[in-house]
Amino acid sequence: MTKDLKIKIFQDLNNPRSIGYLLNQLIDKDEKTLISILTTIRHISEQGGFPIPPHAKPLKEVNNEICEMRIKYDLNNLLRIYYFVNKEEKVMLLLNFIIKPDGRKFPADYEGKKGKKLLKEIGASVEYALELKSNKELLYTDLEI
Amino acid sequence: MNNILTEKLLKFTKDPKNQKSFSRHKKMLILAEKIYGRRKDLNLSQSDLAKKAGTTQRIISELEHSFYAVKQGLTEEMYDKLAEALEIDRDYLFSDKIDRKTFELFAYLESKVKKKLDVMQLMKLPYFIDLHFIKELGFQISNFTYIRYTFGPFDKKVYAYESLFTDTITKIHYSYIKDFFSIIDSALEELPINNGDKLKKESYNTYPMKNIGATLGGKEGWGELLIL
Repeated sequence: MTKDLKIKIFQDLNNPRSIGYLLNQLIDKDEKTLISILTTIRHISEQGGFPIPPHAKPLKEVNNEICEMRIKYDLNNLLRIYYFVNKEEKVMLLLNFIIKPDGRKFPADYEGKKGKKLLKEIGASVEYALELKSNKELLYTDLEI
Repeated sequence: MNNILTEKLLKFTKDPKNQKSFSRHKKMLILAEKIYGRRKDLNLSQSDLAKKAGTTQRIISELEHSFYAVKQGLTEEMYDKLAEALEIDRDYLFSDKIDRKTFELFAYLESKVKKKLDVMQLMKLPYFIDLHFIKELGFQISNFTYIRYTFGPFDKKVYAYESLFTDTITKIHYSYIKDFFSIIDSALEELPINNGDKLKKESYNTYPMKNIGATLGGKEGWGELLIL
């Protein structure tokens, strides 16, 4: 049997970048997407938080600990959720998210000025995840799924 | 306010009408891993695989994102074409007993043992490696649930993997277990990997077997779940 990790989320409902805000937006409104997101979160937690491709990847070029879940959000967009695992406490902490066009499906979106803007926004999301991770005062809420 | 969301999400996940959707989506996640992993083994792009399987890159992309089949369902014909294009037995894609991580684990074990694994090796090596993973990382690497049988710890899912490794499976791109090679190697160092009898004996010295009172040569029993 797998000793699953506990899952905790950054749940600031007034912060449109927090994962709690996203889940709150989806509940009662878009059940299919919510199921897809929650199943992926649970599946990755069952693997000890290991970033299993193609559902997640480590952001090694930025930080050895932050990982990015990659979930198809709708026909055009990819949802990226940033998380890390606290091995000592056996907790997977979900931080923030960003929804942007899927680069593999729409490579042209990532070219030129528009592409630069998109990459900048994704980069800013990663920076924000690092900021949240290093904030020891941040409050997390249990997510039981 | 925060507790309201937590409670709502818990209610949502426990709702029996959503259970089927969760289970179906989980299967699609596992299928996506298998397609992605095998495509990497063969060093194919999504477009290459689509061409080989007679489909479109969009469908391959959506399969790897667990999106396509959730909505439309995979046809038998598509499974056949995909398996053929991925140069692997149809069971690799179709069987719920097989997951990509365990597939890679067996491929790695074969490369270590340097021959096709015999039944006792198939049964016991993942068990010891899983015990080592639990100790080191707190989770298992295989998808097995071990039951005590008369010949020690065992999961019958192991048989699903037995026929997968043919001569055509030559190169494996270890997408899932590459970060864990050192842990697998250290588990193997302590084991008589080429001696099935010794592996069986050794399994009786492990704590999950001891916890249920299983002794080699003692009163044989079977069917108890082993808690790792």
